[in-house]
Amino acid sequence: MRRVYLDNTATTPLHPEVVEAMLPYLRDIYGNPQSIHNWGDAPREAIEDARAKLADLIGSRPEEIIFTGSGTESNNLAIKGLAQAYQGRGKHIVISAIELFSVIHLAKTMEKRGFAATSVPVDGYGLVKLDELAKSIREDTIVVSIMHANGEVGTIQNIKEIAKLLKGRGIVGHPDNRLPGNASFCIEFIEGEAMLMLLSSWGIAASSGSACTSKALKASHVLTAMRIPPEIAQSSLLFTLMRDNTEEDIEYVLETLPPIVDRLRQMSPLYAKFLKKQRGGR
Amino acid sequence: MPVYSDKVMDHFMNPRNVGEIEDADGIGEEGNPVCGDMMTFYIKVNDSRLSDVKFKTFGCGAAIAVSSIVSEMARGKTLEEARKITPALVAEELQGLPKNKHHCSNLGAQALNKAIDDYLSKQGKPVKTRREEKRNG
Ligand SMILES: Cc1ncc(COP(=O)(O)O)c(C=O)c1O
Ligand code: FES
Repeated sequence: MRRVYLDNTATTPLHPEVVEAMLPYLRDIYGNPQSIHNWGDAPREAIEDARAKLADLIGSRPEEIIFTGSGTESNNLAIKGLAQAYQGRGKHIVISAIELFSVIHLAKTMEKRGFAATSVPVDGYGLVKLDELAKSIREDTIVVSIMHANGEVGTIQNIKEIAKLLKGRGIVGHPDNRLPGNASFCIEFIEGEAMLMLLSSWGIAASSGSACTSKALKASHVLTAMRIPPEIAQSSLLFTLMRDNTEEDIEYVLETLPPIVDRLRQMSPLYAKFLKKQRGGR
Repeated sequence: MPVYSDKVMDHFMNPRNVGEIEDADGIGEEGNPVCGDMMTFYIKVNDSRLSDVKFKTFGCGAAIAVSSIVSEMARGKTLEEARKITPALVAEELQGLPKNKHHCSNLGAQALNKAIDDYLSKQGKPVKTRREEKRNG
């Protein structure tokens, strides 16, 4: 059976060039870069070299780049760091309702630490409401953290307009994320987990924002913030691609998915009701 | 994906008794307050026995497996016997359910009970719900 991995926002394989570049340091070259002895020299040079290259790519100074172990750690460092550095100027932070939990939970933590946080709503497409954002900004706002692109529904924010709102006001923007190859659907009348299980039995990996697929049995906060009705959110299905996916992979998905949808719809009381309504009955 | 038993996977992949009964004697529909899903049971009654049980389900893998096993457990049983199909029994019959999927087994038992209630009320017989039974000991 063909195996097609389309859950790349959850986790994705390393690029072969990355593996190649990292192998010497995983295998032969070791040592603490802070050490006085010269085991630390090669790792230190490699890290500084990487820092300089990254700085060059984004037009910053090398010392402005800080490496962390994860995205969650980066978000924490960025927002807590900015808040601490600018707390003399103000104690208000702004986020959007569709940020990652690493940002949403962080905002709640900051509130417990004497900061104020505002969560700006989004429209039905997941776009931050710019008028609401403008209203949310106060004299004492120091950070606005809004993701550039949403990994779950694929919405790309109008980051230029957002930046304009912040410009000249001493507010730091924190635009998380960018995303290629994101295809997000709601397939009415059937539920996400059931779709994922059947897809998996046909060798296809995807994901869903349905309540039944979450540990907490809550629909995705992104779909909820977009005011997607609960029964539609239940039918969410998300494919996220990587560079190794082929045209044939996608064709295989296009062949496999419709029979799965059919099969689940044949079981669905909501679909039966819909058909009856269409036929003019009740 | 939650860790499901072989029995759950079997009933999910090959659900028994899916469908509607056109001239059903009783229909029971139950919504899931936890995740918003839905189950509908259709029953035919002959000599106080469930001669046919069918279902339709909008829900997760566990919910589909639960409806399938409930339909199997209920078939051929008397109404009184079918009332004794509890969520715990359903979960046991499925070789266990993950902790956060137990509410899906409530849904199955409740939808079946509602179908029986519907049958009884259509017959003009008193409907004794399980809750009342419990209350009365
Ligand atoms: C933009 C962004 N920030 C943060 C995170 C959280 O990352 P991690 O799982 O590495 O903590 C993710 C993960 O998907 C992400 O996409
Ligand atoms: S029906 Fe939603 S978790 Fe089972």
